Amino acid sequence: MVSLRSARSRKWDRRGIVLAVLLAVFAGSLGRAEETEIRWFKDLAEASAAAQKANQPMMIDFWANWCGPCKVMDAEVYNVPELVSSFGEKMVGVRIHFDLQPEMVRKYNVPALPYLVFTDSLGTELMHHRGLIEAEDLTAVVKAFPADISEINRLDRILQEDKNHFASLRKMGQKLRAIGFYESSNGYYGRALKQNEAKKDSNVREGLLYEMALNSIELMDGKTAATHLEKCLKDFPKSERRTDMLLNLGRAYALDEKKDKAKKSFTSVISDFPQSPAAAQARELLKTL
Amino acid sequence: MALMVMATAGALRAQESVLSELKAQFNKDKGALRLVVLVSPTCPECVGGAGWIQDYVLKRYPNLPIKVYAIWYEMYPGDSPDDFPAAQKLMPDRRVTHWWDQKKTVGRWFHNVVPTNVKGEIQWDAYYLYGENATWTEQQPASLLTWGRTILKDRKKLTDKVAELAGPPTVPVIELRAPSSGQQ
Repeated sequence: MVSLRSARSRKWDRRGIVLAVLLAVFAGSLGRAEETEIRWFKDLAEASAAAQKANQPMMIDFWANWCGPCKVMDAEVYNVPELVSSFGEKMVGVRIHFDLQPEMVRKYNVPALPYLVFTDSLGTELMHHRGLIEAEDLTAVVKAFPADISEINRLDRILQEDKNHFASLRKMGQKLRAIGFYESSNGYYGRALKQNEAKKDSNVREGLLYEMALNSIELMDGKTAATHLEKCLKDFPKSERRTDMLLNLGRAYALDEKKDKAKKSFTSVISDFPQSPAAAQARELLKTL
Repeated sequence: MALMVMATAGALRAQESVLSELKAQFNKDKGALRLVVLVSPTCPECVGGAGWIQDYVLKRYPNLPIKVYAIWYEMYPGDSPDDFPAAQKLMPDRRVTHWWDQKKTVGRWFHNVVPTNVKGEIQWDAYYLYGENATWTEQQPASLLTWGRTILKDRKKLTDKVAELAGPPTVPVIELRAPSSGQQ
């Protein structure tokens, strides 16, 4: 009896498994069918609640019926399958009508349409874009976000309590730098630099300034990068990063079209640290000038 | 009063000369690609088109030898010269020259002389891309490489042509902006 019951049980188990697989396939196909367009919330508070639950970022799309480029976004961007798929996995979307929610327009300082704001789950702006953005670029932005932004949310909560919390400002700068939001990262690093913790600790100050310079190079802003690196080399002459600082100073000058200064920096790296990996890079970079 | 009259007369003379200034600048810049952009300063499509040229042509090809001539004039309800300063900020690239064309002479000229698909008498929300050897004589400049209207509708034609001439963009990704420090 026991074995018979077991056999029946196994038979039903198998049927159950087959049924479960079929249901899963059916549900999966339904899920895919639903993902032909982006799901938009119309209310920021509701969107934020959903985003916090999933630890996902939000994208706020400010739009209006009279906005021609917004219609182009609808017709040629928001329906691109790769974007829809990435968006569904990574992001919570909110559409705010420019004319109907003026308090939101003021809050996010919206100057014109279309205007996209990327925020953490709490609605704190990380980056924005004004104007039409093509689907491939928007997809790249969406993909750059980590699947889980709980750490960014945690830091933001601390900063909402204490906007000058040094460790959170620095960590937020690091997190945003890691996902390629260099300008925003520099905003947090800049605030961290003003805190007493940075003023008292030269190692910390050096690290912040150096990363700000690297961010500026990523942003192709050679002038700002050079300013930070010149300060680093002057204030921290015995830094372990000196070789890299000189190499990147050369890069910064090159971006700023100051070829003579760039050559001088690269030459210093080669003559002062001839065996270093930086020297090899400097030799290659010299050839490009 | 006399000063005001003189100033007004000077302004009018300047307005009448936008077409000739454009023509002179166009010929002076021979050797570079030249892009004429005809736009209203508040029409959302025009403003969007101008911003798109800044993002997808100028920012992505920071070293491309191209000169952009942005001619702004009143075409949309509410347009006025007061909108000109803000409009110029849409294309802040050093390769762009902006004009305010009160009499719409450039739009009228392009409508009459160069290909158009717009009804009425004035071309607008349009671009015309000319090759590096183009010269503007009494006739239209030769060597029109491509044109489009509206700018946004025909935007891919422009980037395809630029990519054909200059290769893939040197700045591959679009730059997002950080919030101002007060907001962060």
